[in-house]
Amino acid sequence: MSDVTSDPPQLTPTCETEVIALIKESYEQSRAIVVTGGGHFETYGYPLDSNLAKLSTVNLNQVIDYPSRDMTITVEAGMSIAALQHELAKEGQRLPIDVPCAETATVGGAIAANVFGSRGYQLGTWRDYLLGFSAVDGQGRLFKAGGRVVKNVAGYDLGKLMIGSHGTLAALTQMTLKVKPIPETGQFLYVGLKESEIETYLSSLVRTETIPVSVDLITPEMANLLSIDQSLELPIEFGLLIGFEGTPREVAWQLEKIQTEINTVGKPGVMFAIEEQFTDAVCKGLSETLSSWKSLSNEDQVKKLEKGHSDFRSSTYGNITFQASLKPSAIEKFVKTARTQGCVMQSLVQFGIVRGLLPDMNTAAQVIGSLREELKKFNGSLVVIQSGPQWDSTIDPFDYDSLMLTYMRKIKEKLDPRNILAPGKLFK
Amino acid sequence: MTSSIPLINALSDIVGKDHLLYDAEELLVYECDGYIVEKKCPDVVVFPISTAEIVEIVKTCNRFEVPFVPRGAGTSLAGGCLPVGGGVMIALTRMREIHEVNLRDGYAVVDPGLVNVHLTREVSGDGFHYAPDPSSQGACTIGGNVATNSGGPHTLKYGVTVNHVTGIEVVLPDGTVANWGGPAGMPPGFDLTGLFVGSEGTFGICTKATVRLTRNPAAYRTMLGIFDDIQTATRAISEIIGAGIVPAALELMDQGIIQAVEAAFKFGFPLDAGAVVLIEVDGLEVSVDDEAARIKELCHQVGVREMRTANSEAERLLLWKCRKQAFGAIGRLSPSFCTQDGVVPRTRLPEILQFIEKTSQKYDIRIVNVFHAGDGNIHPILLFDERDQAQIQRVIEAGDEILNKCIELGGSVTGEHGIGVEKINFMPKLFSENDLTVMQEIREVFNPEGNCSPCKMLPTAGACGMEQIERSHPGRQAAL
Repeated sequence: MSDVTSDPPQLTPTCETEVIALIKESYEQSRAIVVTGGGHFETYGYPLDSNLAKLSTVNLNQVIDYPSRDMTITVEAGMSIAALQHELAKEGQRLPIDVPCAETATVGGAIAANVFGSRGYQLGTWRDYLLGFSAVDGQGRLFKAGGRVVKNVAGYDLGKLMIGSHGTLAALTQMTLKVKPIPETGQFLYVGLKESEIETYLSSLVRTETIPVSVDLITPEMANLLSIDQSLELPIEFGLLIGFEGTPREVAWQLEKIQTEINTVGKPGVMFAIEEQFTDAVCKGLSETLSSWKSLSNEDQVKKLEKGHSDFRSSTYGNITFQASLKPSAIEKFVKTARTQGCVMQSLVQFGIVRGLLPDMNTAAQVIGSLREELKKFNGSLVVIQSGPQWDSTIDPFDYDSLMLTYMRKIKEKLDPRNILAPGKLFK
Repeated sequence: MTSSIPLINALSDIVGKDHLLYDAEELLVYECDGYIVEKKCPDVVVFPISTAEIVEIVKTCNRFEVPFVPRGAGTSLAGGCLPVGGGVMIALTRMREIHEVNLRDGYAVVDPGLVNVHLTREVSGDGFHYAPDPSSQGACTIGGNVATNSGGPHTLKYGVTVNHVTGIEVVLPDGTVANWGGPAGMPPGFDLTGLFVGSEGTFGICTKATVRLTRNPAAYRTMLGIFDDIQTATRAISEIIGAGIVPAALELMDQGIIQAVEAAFKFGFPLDAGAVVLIEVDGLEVSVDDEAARIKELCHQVGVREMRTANSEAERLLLWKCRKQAFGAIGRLSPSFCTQDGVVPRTRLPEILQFIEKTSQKYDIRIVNVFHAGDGNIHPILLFDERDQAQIQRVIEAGDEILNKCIELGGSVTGEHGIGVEKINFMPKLFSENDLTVMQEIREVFNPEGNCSPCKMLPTAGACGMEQIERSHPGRQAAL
């Protein structure tokens, strides 16, 4: 264990026992700490006291057990997603969850932040892959739930609580994951379309004879960002990116079939299969473009944007990203409204999720309020997933249902009675 | 607790006199679920028709300080709806409406008492189905599936109940109505829907569920691998999974089961086979033949005697009927039987099956097997005569020994039936004191008084009322 005596202090335990000791000490002294992995979601939720000690799990990065023929793996929480995928790839397997910045994002952090991408609807998200875990709660108690087998209903499924709790309930130390074989190949079809045709095409996909692993809708502005970030040269228009995986024969058949189906629905704009060698760039782009954009300075953003589409607003881009949840059938209407407010968006359409970048820090509160009003029409909701240093405290990152908030508080009181784990991050 | 006139009157005012039972003889039907080892009659059974009625029932129970327990069809197999301590049983079978089917957005909102297969029937004409398919799907309810996080043969590829429930309406033990999750994306907050699924009624009563609807596959290939012995069959299963192939279903039946289902359904199973494995692949027409061919090749490599393929939809359905109604056929083998529900890592299947065989010999109890091999979820069925007390004791000891072995092999004591009251004593073997304390604390968040489904799942829940349970003996159980 080593303490870095900078401000804020960085705690870097190297084993579970040290995590227990550190949290127990914090509990006894009622000293708040923040559990971190790759640190990509530090600006999620309400702003935290910047002087809080950080407990980093990055030195807990070992494979505990990998019975590959059982298609499960048990790893420590601080292992990076890239290291995990590298280990799995040796046996022809993978975890099919798209996590941005995989080199630095950790497994524990990705679970705590419930990070997932385009392939989540068809292939699953963390709630479909987390079989069991160990964690240390806010009292320094090591506890576990679930197990190491693929089917198990013994005890409460506390893993569901860990996913998306952002380290506010416990510090994850170990997890067992279900894994899948790596498909032989994967390819995307790009379909250009007009804003008014979005729902026509999306609803037709419900009855496709193919089995897409992902369907993403990108706005012209997002197409621009994606093109710049990944050198993809996508048309700057509304686009559907439909992903397929499988054997070369399966993928080829599906690409052909879906083009036929789409042509019977209407008259799409440009439609082409993205060459196989660009598949990784598309996947990376779809999962990372919004989040990597956040890390750029305004000056960099402006320079990049100036190279892009002329219609794109390039003045004072902030770095607030949001995630809206709504029924898939309402995506067209929502995107239309949000675009008039200057949002750059990508939608995981099968899930009913729209992720976007707000146009301007100065108008963020107004735009978020307006988007939430729009979402009410569809029983939808909106969460701010990344905020900036000039956070406007009038913006509420969450629009919780009041009863949800009540029970979140009650659960936290049980696991973290002295409120030492990222206090105030998810609710005040 | 014994029923009181004021309580009955209060409940009658809520549901109407035609929708409650309190006569001792009528209550006998509700003394147990599919787990009949332990029995206890509720004092009253009420049959509400709405969430509002359930709220009033729960508040009334709290006012009278009596425990209450929800019940679906009673097909659960671990005593999950056993009314420990008596009290009020809230039977949800009148609440069976499908409130909404939205094929565009891929979901349905249903009542808890809706029979599982009725949802699939409702949407099958449009090319959709509800994926979780427990073998009891012709009787079990969606609310019961939510409580126990039910599985089924096709969950190997498509996942269990929790993977298909996106939202729930629940009546909490204090009478509050909560709505968590829903059809739209991923609402903010903890995944309380996921936490609630599988909580065996101890967090409250599910009164509506929003579930995903799944497109029917374009094509199926259903095969039957016939093996000389069960060890070769389990090796084939390990090879298929180890090769990274995930069929839609992978189900094993051993010789004893083959003989029973053949007598019942006359499918044409070879009676001298040591085991058969029902294998189904589904998906694109263009790919199912390739996948089926790979599976056949792997089976031949380990020495399958014969591979058959269902040549028609009728033949496929008959094969599935044999599998799903296998438990109904067991009555041909023995007057009574007791089903276990263990899980082992998939590669340890040969080991656990050898252990089951040795256990069978050790206790002189015949054990047959029909199970979800692809998940490593075993269902050894212990056959006996409940009139013989010595056999009963041996059945209990043999069952415990098998489940202990599952734990030793890195598995679990339940893959889909739940802990209920049956397996409470195994919880300290699976979990540490801290684990159980944390689980108990989470239960207290929702159910602080412990009056909703008391004495289930956790040994730390105390032994309230357990002394009132009539300890019977293992007997015939409903199909899983």
